Amino acid sequence: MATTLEIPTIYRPNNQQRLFRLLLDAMAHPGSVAALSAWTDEAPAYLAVLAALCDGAVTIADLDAMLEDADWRFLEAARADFAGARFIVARGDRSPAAGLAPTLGDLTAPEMGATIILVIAELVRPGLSVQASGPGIKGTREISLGTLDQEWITRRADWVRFFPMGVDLLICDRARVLALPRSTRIKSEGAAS
Amino acid sequence: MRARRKRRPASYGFGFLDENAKKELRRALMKAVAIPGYQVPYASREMPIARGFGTGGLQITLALLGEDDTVKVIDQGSDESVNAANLRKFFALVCLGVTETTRTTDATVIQTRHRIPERRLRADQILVFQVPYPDPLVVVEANAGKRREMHGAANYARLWTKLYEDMVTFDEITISHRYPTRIAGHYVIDPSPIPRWDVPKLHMADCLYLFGAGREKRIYAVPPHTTAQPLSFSDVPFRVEDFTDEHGKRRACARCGATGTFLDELLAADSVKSYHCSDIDFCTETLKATQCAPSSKSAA
Ligand SMILES: [Zn+2]
Repeated sequence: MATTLEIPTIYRPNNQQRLFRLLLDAMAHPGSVAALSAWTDEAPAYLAVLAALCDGAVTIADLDAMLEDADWRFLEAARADFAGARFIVARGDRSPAAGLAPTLGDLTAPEMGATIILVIAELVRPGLSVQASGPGIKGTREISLGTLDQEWITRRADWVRFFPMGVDLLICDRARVLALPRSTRIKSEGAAS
Repeated sequence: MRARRKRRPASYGFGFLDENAKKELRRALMKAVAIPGYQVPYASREMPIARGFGTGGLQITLALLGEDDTVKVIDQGSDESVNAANLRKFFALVCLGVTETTRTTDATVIQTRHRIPERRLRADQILVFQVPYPDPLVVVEANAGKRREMHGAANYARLWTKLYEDMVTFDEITISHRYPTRIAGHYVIDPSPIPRWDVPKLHMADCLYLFGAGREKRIYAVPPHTTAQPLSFSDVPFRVEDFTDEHGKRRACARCGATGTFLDELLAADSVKSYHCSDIDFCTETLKATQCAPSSKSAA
């Protein structure tokens, strides 16, 4: 008589393990695009990222109301505004709000700097592109950021100015993700558009 | 022994740790990679092996492993020491579907104590270190909070001074293991008790290096393509161990003949010294390649 709760694919432990490994690999290779779709059953990539990393121990700021009630229930994370959130989810196709000031951590706890998940329409197609270098990148690498609003890269430069403090970006389109950890140096001049 | 699959008893969850513990470890791992060399704190869980025996590395490996992984465990370069073999069997027992191996080239995740394999690891491989003492600043600063501030500001003046004093006293830097190494120009790490021989392998690698200290509850990382500079002085440069003999000739492994590996000294009953590769898999593979060439039929 008890109905079996249908657990969506992205909340199942074996899929979360696969998603985590793809995310770890993406973080270790900034700018490389990880395809998540084999483990998401059509769930959007940003939700798969949150599912793989979040639980009741963390807070999420959902700046553009992309998470539905059911998502919050499965994620178990507490809602927060951007100032205190460990994770921030926002639309990346538009500019960040002028007052957006994510947690950067401090010198003795830089890991408290937020993970910002930016959702855009298309990662790979021609659009914004930047020259990147730093840990995880052999030499320099041109990273295509598709439809990401350039203002995010400008603001990021402020947020990561005082390493080790900073934020780490995970930029998602429908089914893919790439990482820009705070350690990545970006020459922003490469912007086409 | 080669790739082999094992079933686990139904009472274990996959990977032994509960999912919340794994998620905490995974979040710490993501931040460790994003902040190269920084010791990320996490809440260490009780593990079924004694503290100090690699719980930190063990927890990282359990947070990584999935059913399509192939895992290898080495202790001082050997897969068949009791510790290495037991850990490998533990992974196979609690991670259904995980394949165990002794072959470096077949492994996706390698857990290690005291060595980095001789064969250059690939981008699709992760090396997990068991770390007894994560903080290189312990020798100069007892207060943990002060050490965190010094790390954050990359203030290593006192560590440099200590090294310099050693140098003046002994005429060279005497550290044989746990050589303090600066990662990506900021944090100095304790790379765990690997010999100096292995330290250059941290620099601009293709693979990801993860370090786990269970007692201190710290995780840190050296990402691929990241600088790793052993601290040294211009007049006393960093040097790896010297394996030349009294005639100035590079010693070779008595078993496989290799002249480019880290060697263990063995003393036979008649007190004659011989030298063997510390990395047993590398030694075995080299031996097979020389014995089997040109026909490689028996190599499987
Ligand atoms: Zn040998």
